[in-house]
Amino acid sequence: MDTLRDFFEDKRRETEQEAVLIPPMGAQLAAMIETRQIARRKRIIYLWIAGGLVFVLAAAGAGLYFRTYVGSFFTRLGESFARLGEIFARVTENIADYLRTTGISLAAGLSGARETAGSGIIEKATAEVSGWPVQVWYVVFLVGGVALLLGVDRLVRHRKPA
Amino acid sequence: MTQDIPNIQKTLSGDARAYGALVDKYQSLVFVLVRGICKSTADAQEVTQDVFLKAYEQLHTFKGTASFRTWLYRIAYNTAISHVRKTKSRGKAGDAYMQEVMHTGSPLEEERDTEREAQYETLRQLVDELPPSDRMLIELYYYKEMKMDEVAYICGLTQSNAKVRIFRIRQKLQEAMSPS
Repeated sequence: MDTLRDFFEDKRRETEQEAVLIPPMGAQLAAMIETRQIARRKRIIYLWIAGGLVFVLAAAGAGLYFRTYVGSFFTRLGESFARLGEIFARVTENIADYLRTTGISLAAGLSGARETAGSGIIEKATAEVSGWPVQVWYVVFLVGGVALLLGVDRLVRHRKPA
Repeated sequence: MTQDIPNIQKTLSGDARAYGALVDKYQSLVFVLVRGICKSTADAQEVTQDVFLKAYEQLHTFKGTASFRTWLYRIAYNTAISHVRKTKSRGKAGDAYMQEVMHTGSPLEEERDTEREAQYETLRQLVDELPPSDRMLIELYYYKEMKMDEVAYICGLTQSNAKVRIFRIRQKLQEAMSPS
């Protein structure tokens, strides 16, 4: 099959000669791409603006059109939220009571049944360390916990292969 | 390949000029590949430009598993094949090109190689009659002196499938060329 090889090699040589004569299209293509990018960015900005305007107009229109219903809807929504809030308060109160009694019994077991009913165990412990209110300590613990989790996550993600 | 990585990264971060440098580097290779099945130089130039625009749009999908050249060839292959299918451009113009290509030797050589010319003429017709994908396959096999796995990757075939297809194309050409 030498003829076949020669044939394709001759063809390649000729096409390569032809290719040499073609002016470099890199700069032209780069300019074209830059123009397209600018046009695309502009289009995206216009779409966002148009979308925002349409949304605002639609919301205003709908508000005007359904204005009689909007008032009653928000009243009903407010009532629902109030009911939810009541339920939530009841549940959290029960949980808080449970935690308080557990804490008291634990503290009693550990320190020889001292009277702690007046204040929670955390309040007592933190008050002994500093004069800060307990809410500050909650925030400190929360931030510390989140920082710990983030630190572990970073270590896991960035660990180097053995 | 490794020397292309900085330009690829720059391009991905929005530097179109870095892509221009990649275009300048590979445009001849891509042109030679697509010229094989395009009817004219202008057509091949247009397809070459399309190839680079497509490659730019798909550059984020380049993972570096194959070399950039091979990845680019694959895009060129698909673009050229779809261009030919769309325009059905293979025909007389292609023949004219082939004749032009084959008649560039010196007159002395031409006289000496009349037998070879006849063979070339037969080959030209046979190759022109091949479907674009087969034509590209055989050209890649001979043209670029590529490894079979690269040829298979570019054509989207398995290595064994590419081997079988090339074997069949060669056999077909050989049979047609052998004196009956």
